[in-house]
Amino acid sequence: MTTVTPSPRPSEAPTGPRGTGSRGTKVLGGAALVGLALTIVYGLFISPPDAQLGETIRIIYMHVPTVVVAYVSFIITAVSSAMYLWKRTEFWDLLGSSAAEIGVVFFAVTIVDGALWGKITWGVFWRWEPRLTTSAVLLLMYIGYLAVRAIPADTRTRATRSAVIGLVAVVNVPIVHKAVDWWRGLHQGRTVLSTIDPEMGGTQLFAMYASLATGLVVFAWLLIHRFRTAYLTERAADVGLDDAIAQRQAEGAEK
Amino acid sequence: MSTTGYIVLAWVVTFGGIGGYAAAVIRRGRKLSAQVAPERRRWM
Amino acid sequence: MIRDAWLVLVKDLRLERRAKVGLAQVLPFAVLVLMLFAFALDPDRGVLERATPGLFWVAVLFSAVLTLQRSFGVEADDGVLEALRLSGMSPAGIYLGKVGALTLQLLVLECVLALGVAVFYGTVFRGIGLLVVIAVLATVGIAASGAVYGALAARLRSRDTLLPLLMLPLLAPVLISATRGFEIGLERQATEGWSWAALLGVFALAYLSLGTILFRPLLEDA
Repeated sequence: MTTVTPSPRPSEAPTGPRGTGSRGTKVLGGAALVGLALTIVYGLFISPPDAQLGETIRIIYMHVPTVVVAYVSFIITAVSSAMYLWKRTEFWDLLGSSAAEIGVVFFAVTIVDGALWGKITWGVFWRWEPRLTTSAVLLLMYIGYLAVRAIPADTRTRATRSAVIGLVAVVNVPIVHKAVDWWRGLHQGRTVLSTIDPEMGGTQLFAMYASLATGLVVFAWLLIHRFRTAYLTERAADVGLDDAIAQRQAEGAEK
Repeated sequence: MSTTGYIVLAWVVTFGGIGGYAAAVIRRGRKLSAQVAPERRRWM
Repeated sequence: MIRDAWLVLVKDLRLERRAKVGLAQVLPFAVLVLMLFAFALDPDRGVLERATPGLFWVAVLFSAVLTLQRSFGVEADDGVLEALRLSGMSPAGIYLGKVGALTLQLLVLECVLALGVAVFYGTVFRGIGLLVVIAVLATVGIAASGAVYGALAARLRSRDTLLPLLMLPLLAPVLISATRGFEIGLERQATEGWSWAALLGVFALAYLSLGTILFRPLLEDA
């Protein structure tokens, strides 16, 4: 019985990037850190309590950016899903699934922040108000997306399934929104966003913008890293496959 | 828990949750990068 | 495409007539759900009466998931999906046929449930026009969206746990709209109920359109 020489391991070939970072991501990361610093300083300390919301506006500084990022993620997933079904390239599949995962993380945070805001404002962690309810339903839909994505299948099957869910879910977003709004919107006094003073100015506005901008920069940074990680996962799977094939061929050549 | 407590918790959850996720992604990226030959590591 | 849809619809209904799963299993299950609600919510305190529209539609949703699993499960297990794919029938036609069969089966179920609700919860049906329109639109929406996910999950062994997880959040707006519409219909304030019917119509139309487009890639790949 002969031994099979495995394909050269990267430790013997020290060229090429280690990890998923690059100059672009380092720039984004730096910007994110600056933004985070500004957000913390202005959001937690410099900006005054709001006239209507009091100190709870500081939670809104977190809540709004996370929900915006979540919605952007799901739009990206939707577009990527459509593009995948049209072009059938790996790029769109990986982009869509990466965005979906990030969206779920941010959306979960959104809901927790909203619940904590509710605890202070309403005294309870949950109320069936439009935004929280819609968020809960949407979160469950995209968790379903991730669940289907986790099922072992060949690349094309998995990508098709994911793309279908991505499109079905996004079509539902405005419908859920409308239904929950009509249902609960009239009954509630203060929803999370309706209480934000539209004339919020000065340091409060700055804190909000800083947080929003930071959130989007962090999102871009995360998306690039997550996409590259997904790409590497596929390539690593290819490596395993190549090795197995090489082994088979070597065994076959001896007979 | 006081109002301040909840606010702090919200910030901790937000930063911790997103930060923890980011760390996990980076870590996984590094691990996978080591398993793949250098010329195939980047999409572009 | 219409001819293909008709063929698939007839085939599905014929299958159901022979196997009688809907009749023998899903229907009793639905009635059982109604009874469970009565056990859980004290019948004497008026809660059942007030909650009737919601309970009705929850029972419909659970039964719909079962019907869906059955509709695609049988086909996947027997390789019928493969045969359909290779048969050259238009995927859109197959999809519409399946949606049609599902809609009819669910409508029959809803009639029996309406009877159940009238008997168990003492419901008096007013505003029939609105109720029927809402029921039909909601059912089409359930069938249209359900057929897409059903096809997606058809060949999966985990389909029994996956399908509810996928379907129920998706159908949340249907549940909300149908329940609110029924509440209004039963109190004869039909004027406000039509906006809910309209929303249900939008849902049904959106998913019929989406499903028609998505069924081909699903049939080929999923």
